Amino acid sequence: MTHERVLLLLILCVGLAGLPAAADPFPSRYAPPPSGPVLIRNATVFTGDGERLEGADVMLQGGRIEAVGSAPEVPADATVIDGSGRYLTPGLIDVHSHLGNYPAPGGAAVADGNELTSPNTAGVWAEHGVWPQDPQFPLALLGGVTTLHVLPGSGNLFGGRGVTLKNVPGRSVQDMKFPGAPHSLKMACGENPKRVYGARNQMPGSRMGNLFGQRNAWIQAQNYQRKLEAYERALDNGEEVDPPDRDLTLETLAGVLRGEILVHNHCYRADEMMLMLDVAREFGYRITAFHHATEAYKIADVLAEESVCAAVWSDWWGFKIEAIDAIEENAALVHAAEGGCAIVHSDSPRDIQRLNQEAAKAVMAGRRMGLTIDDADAIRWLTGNAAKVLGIGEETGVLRPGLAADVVLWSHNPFSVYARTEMIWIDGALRFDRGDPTTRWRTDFDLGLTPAGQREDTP
Amino acid sequence: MMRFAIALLLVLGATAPAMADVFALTNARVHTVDALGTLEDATVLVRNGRIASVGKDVRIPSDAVRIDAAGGEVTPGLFAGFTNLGIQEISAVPETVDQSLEDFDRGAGFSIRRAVNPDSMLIGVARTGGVTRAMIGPSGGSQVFAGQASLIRLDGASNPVSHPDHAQVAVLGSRGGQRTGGSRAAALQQLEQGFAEALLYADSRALIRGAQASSLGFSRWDLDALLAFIGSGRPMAVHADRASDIIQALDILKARGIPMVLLGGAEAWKVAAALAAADVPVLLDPLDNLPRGFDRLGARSDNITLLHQAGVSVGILEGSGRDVRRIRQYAGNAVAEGLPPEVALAAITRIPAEVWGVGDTYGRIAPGMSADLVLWNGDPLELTTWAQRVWIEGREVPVDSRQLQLRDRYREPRSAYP
Repeated sequence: MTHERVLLLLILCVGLAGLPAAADPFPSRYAPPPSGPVLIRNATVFTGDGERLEGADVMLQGGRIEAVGSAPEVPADATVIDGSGRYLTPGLIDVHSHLGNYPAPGGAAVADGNELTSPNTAGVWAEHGVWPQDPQFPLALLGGVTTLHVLPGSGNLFGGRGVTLKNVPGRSVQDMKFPGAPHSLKMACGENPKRVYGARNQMPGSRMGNLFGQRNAWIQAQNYQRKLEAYERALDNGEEVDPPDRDLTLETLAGVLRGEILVHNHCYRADEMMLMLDVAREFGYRITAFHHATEAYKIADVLAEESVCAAVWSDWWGFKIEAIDAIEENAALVHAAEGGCAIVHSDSPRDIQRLNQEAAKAVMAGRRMGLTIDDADAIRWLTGNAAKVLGIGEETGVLRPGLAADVVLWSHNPFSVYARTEMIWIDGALRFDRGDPTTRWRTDFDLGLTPAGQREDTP
Repeated sequence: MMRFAIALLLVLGATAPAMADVFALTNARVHTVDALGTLEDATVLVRNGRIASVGKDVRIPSDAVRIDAAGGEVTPGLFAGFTNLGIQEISAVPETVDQSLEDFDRGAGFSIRRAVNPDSMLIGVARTGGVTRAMIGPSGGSQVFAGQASLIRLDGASNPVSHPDHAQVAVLGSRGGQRTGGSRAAALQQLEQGFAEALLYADSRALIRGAQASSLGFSRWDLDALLAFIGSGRPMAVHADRASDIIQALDILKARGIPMVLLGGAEAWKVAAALAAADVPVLLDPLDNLPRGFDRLGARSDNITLLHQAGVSVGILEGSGRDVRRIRQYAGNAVAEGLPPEVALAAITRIPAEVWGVGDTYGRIAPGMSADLVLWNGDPLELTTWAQRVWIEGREVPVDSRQLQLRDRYREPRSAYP
């Protein structure tokens, strides 16, 4: 990119958001490798927005989905793959991950996901702690995860900005950054912030303190935003004025107030989620999704009315007091509410490898209580709904012509415990082929420690 | 005295199987996990808490209650290989955690059997997942010897411990080293020291109980426990991941003639031949493929398959009691990693029972075995099937939990509360 074009981009960003700060100083450098056309024939297709197609063909071309359903005209150079007896889904999306921020092997030297030095660290960015050589990334890819959202931890009221990544190798996090994806703000209520700071005799030491700290921060953010707006007005009037002092913490919060940064709120209890909705109303921002939301089922109707998604586990429970009311039916009950939006997340380097299985257990629980849950509907919990809350719903998460060719071919129905990924494309580029060992992604870390392909299964 | 008798009756009523019960579970796909394999359209006959017969042509006596399984699948009750069910309720709440020790120097003599909580809310959750038996073990404190593990049943009995102090547990590798001054070498040395001191103690118990007690590294409580254990034939369960630690432990225990059970064993596949030759079984978590620490850089997804292929007996564990219902998911994944399906089912039924020396009573559907049974509405290893009915020692136990009660309260959220 030439300097002129960078400048132009900067001006455009300034023009759009009214703020120099809106230009991302750490822009995405992700570029999919060139790929030829691919036709997957005769597969069972879950589109990611609720449809199931039998014996369908899916065509990928130029990194995009070209056609879904009927057989299009096949280019001579197309790679044709027999999907008979196999299942095709959009690439899975994990909306709650700490890969790269808490890599393996773990330990204090590499624990970079929780800036536990102040209850408000809205100005820190998860991407600045992502180690791209974390050997957990390739394992997540084997599980069909093509996009993941890496969030700061939940020790602070405001943990910082989250980043959406393509699950691909890179020399820096910028090689992985999902182009155009908005940042998120990680917020937390409940036990974690009050435990971390209460133990130091600092605020917050209670749930009261949590709310106090959050509301105070939003008041400051509103003041900051007003200063920015006054500055813009002055510029518009042709006045010569100095911009307000930059404040990285308040830049993030003001970005939320302007709707540019999406709020992902860690919260377990139903009553606390209701309070957080009130705080959002008080300061005029939107909560995009509650994360963990182990009691979302108690307020499934409210969440649906408020158009707030719940990103949940299937069967995690009981590890702390605020998690003892978690039930396996959580996702199913959120989904079953009229207009409800359920997402199954991992928050775990272990379960990210089997997000499809986490969803399957939630499907089981729903069916056990008599709910009707179609597989094609439930796959949205890992694809379409997940893309929506990350602000990339017009780019990925659904198999629809024009969207990114992020596609997974499965050996069985992905809700079967026996299902394994066979082939995975990201933006049309083949990133994994179980039958071709040369497609295995090995991080620098794994070199010399494990023979090729050993970390993964071999059969 | 009268009150005592009534109390005794109540206790017996709550714990003992209804002795006269005879029932036949018919029209089932029965996974015997035994020589008969899987039987289609079969019957399981239960009498007095035991399996009386199983097969396609079982004669059903006239006094038997018939239960139509309607084509469902029947397995032995699932056996959680090693976990903390009943001795840890909420991990973040110390007052509910009894599996570990802080600031209290007790090792081999530490027994968790009197701490098991029969009212644990985790038991109903586990049972709803088809788990009927669990080996529960301590994680200990400041010593390599963590203490003694006990076997429990999940029928809600006031005393769920069926086999108290059934095995010793030791923690090696870097975790062991943290307990012994910072070196895994010292952890291995302390393992040897324990046995050596126990034998010395046996020879001069009176002397040591007197003035010279302080000359030994272990307390007499720990040495009494070790002494009772040496030569008993009961196994020493050893937590170790790194291949070299596994081999070292094997050497030490072999020299003492103590049977070993390997717990975890992330790198066990590297020493599979040695484990097979020494007849050491492994209890592991087949999903644990992450190089989370430097003891386990060789962790891989098909550890269980490679061990099985080498002739090692491998069962499945989930260390966290609240998550033991996940063991059938683990078994299903093992199948996807190349383990034969019947072996995967055995890894959560017969094999852990055999590992702990109770394979003649639990883990199979065969005449004489305890009637611990689960009726599933499909493939028991699949994620979208569930346990419909559960029996322990021939008594049906409720498939119910606090979680299911919450579910039912909030089936219609608006009507649960204003």
